[in-house]
Amino acid sequence: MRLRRLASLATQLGMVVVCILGTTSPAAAHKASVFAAVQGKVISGEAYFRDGSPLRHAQVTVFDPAEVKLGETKTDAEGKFSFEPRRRCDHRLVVDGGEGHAAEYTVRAEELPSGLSDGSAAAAKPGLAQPPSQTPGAQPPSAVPDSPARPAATASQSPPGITELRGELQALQKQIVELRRDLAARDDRTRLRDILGGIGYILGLMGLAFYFLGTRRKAEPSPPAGG
Amino acid sequence: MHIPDGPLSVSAVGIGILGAGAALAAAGTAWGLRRLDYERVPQVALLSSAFFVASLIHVPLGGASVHLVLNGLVGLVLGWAAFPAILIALALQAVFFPGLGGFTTLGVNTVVMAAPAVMGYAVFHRLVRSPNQTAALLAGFAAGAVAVLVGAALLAAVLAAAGKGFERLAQAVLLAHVPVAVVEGLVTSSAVAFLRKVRPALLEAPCTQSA
Repeated sequence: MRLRRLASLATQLGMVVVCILGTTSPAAAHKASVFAAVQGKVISGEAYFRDGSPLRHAQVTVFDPAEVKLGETKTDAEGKFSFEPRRRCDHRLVVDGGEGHAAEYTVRAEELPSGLSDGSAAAAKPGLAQPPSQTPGAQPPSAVPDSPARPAATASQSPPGITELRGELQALQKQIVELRRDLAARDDRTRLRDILGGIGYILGLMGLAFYFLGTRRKAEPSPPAGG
Repeated sequence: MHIPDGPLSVSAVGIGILGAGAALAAAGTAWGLRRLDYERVPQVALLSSAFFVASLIHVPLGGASVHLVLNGLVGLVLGWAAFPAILIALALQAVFFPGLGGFTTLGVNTVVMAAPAVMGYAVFHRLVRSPNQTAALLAGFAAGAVAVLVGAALLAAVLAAAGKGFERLAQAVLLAHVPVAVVEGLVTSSAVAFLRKVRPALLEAPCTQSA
């Protein structure tokens, strides 16, 4: 009888816990994420929620490493956006989807086309001209080592292959977005497992406490009148 | 409201605070366990679970991400047993979720959250049981809100005492917990309403019977 009382007590409390948790929807499941990559002369990216739905018409603000605002854009109906970099520096993209759904991603300077100047004063427009701007003097005196595998460099060497390359890059970017999404989902699952594990530990400790209190009671033949 | 491992362990004062926190937490836990009745064990476990989970559910609120603390509710139902309940939950959080507290700060964190819980219990547990429903609900709200605010104040005090660099952080901590306190008050108040209706015996907190 006492056990039954305890059990019902436990259920009641369980209900309280469920009620409390029910009032606060798990926001983690609705976390936003953003990914971007350099394609040709623009930074293009995609913002999405962890469940895969796109973050539509959200403000994207771009900052440089010194927290100076470089510009802003908006995501379209598919959560995609693009931004034309003017300088060769780290671009921190902050997406604000409202209601505290913020996410950010940094496009590193090395990924940007080498034709851009890296000085803030030189706000000279890179020009909206055709991609292969073949002025050899346009290479900035950047400290970043020039990697020959950079798409822009390859593209300028073989103009006919550029569309092919761009297509490949786009496919790659799609895959990366998918991968990041999978990773986020996996993170959430681990979290849930850890939470359940923690509750399991607490229940185990409860059993342990019962065990020790039980032995204590056995040692004392006259149990205190409960309650 | 969790202090991570890093900032306190660099200064002598910080280490002193860590030691004092550990000692106080140990004393509080021992006291709570001594008064722990066989029948209260499942309650302690369940509120410990609730506390454990509440810190992991982050709710966006005005740009910042906050989470419930629930120490007011834990205190109201458990009294002194809030110490072992919160200690266990914090230890498990430190194990499973690096970034939520740490082992060296376990004692300080326990005191920061459990001491206001016991305080709230001491001040409000009679009111919560009062026959006047409105007064009880208001007391529930106050218990939840005050426990968070006092906890934040303790946290801020610890940070401010630890070093000169932490004063701004301490202020930020206090400000950030004002909206949390309001939400926490509402949650605690509705929990009190629910318990009064369903199982008023839970709010009796038998720890006082022997005292």
